[in-house]
Amino acid sequence: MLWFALVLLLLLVGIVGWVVAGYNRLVRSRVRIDEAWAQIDTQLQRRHDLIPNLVNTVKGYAAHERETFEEVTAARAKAISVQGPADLAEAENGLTQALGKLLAITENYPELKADQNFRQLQEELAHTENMVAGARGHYNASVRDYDTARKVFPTSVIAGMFNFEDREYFEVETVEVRQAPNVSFE
Amino acid sequence: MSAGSVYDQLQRENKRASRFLLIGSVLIAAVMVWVVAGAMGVPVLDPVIGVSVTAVGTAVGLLFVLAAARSGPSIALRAAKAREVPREEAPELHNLFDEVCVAAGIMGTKPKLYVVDDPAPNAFATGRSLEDSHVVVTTGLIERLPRYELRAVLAHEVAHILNDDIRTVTLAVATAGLVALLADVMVRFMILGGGRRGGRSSGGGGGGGAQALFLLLGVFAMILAPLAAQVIRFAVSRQREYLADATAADLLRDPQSMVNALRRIDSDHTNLREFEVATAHLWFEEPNDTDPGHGRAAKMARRFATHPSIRERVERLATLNAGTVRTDAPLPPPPPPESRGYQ
Repeated sequence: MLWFALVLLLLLVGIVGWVVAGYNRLVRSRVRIDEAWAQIDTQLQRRHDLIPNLVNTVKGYAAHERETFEEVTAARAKAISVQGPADLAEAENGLTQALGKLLAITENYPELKADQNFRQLQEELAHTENMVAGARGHYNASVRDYDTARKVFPTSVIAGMFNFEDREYFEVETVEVRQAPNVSFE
Repeated sequence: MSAGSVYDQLQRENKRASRFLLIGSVLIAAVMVWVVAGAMGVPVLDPVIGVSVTAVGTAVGLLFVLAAARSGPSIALRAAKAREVPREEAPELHNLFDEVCVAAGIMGTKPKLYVVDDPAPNAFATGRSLEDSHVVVTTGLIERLPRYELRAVLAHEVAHILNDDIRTVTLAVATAGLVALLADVMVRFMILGGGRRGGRSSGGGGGGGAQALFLLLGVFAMILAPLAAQVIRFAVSRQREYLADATAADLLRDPQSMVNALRRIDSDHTNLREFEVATAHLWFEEPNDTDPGHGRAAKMARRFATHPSIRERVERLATLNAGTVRTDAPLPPPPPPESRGYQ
C-alpha cells in the first residue's frame, strides 16, 4: 500500500514537472517571437525614417517625376498606419515596390548618382533593407519553432491546455519583391 | 529532405560530437591520472582505491584546468594582438556585423568586434558564452572581401558562437592541457624519482613489480595520450567548420557569398604574421598553408590540421544548397582599396 502511494506520488511529481517544463518552453518561445517582432518594428521604423530624406534628394535632380514621389509617400504612410504581421507585410511589400520604381528612375540621372549625399543614402538604405530582411528571417524562424512546439505531440497537449494562440508569419510573397532591394546597391 | 532538416541533422551531430569530445578527453585524462598514480606507488589495482583515486584526481585536475580556462578567451585575443574596433573607425564593418546579428536574433547580446592588423584574410571567434563573446577579423579580410562575402565570414564566426562551439573548444583545449600537464608530471617523476625509488624498492615487496609495470605504462601513456587528445580535438574542430559554414549560409539565406568568400580566401596564400599553434583551431582558415600533396608528410599534416580543406568546405556547401550555388563562376571583383575607409 505504501509502495503504491509512493509510486503514485512519483508519477504525479513527474507529470507536474513535465507540464511545467513544456509550459516554460512554450512561453520562452513566445517571448522570443515578441522580441523578434520588436526588432522588425525597429528596423521598419528606420526604413520609414530614411524615405523622406531619399525622396527629397531625388527631387532635387528629378523634380518632374512627381507621380513616383507621391506613390512612395503614400505607400510609406500606409505602412506606418497598419498593424499586425500579415497586413504590415503587405503594406511593406507595396513600399518596397514603390521604392524599386524610385530607384529605377535614379538610373536616368547620372548627376544624382554621383551625388555624395545620395550615395550615402543608398548605402544606408541597402543596409536597412538587409536589416529588415534579417529581422524578418529571425522572426519567421521564431514563429516556426513556436508553431512546431505547439503542434507536435506531446507539447501540443500542454499548448491546448493553456491556450497558446496561433502566431502569424511575416511573409514576403513574390520573388521580385525579395530581389528588388538587392539589385541596385551592390 | 528539405534544407531545414539537413541543417537540424547537422546541428544534432554537432551536439553529439561535443559530447563525444568532452567524454573522450575526460576519459583520456582519467586514464592518465590512473597511470600516474600507479607509477607513483598508489595501489590503483585495488578496485576501491583505484576508482576513487582516479575519480577524485580527475575531478580536481579538471576543476583547476577549467578555472584556468576561464581566462582562455582573453589570452587568445591578446595572442592575436586584437583590438576592439569602434563604429566610427569602421562603419561598414559594423553595419555588416549588425546585419548578421539581427538575422541571428542576438542584437541584445551582440558579440564584441575586434580587428587584427594582418594582411592575411582571416577571422576567429572566442568567448565563454553568448554574453561574453568576441569576433575578430584581420585588416586583410576587410580589405580584400566584397561586402557580402565579408558578411558571410562574419556570419560564420557568429555561427560558431550560436552553435556553442566556442565553449566546447575552450573546454576541449583545457582538457588537452590537463593531459599534457599529467604527461609532464610523469616525465618529472621519472627523472627526479628514479634514483630515490631504487633505494626504496629494495625494501619493498610485490608492490615494486606493479609500480614498474605502471612506469612502463606511463611511458606509453606519456607519448600516446597527448597525441590522442590532439587528434580528438582536431577531428571535432574540423566537423565544426562545416556546420558553421552551413549555419552562416542559412542565417543570411546567401550561400553563394559564403562559397565565394571561401574560394577567394583559398586563392590567397598570405600566411598570418603572428599566430600561436595553440589558437590555430580558432581561425576561419588554417593560419598557415598546409602542403596539399599526397606524400606521407602531407597526409600526416592533414590529420593534424584543425580545418578541412577549403575545397571540401565549398563542395559540402554546394551539396547542401544544390541548384542555388555556383562553384565555378568567376568571382566578383574585390573592393577598391580605399572604399572601406579603413586601413
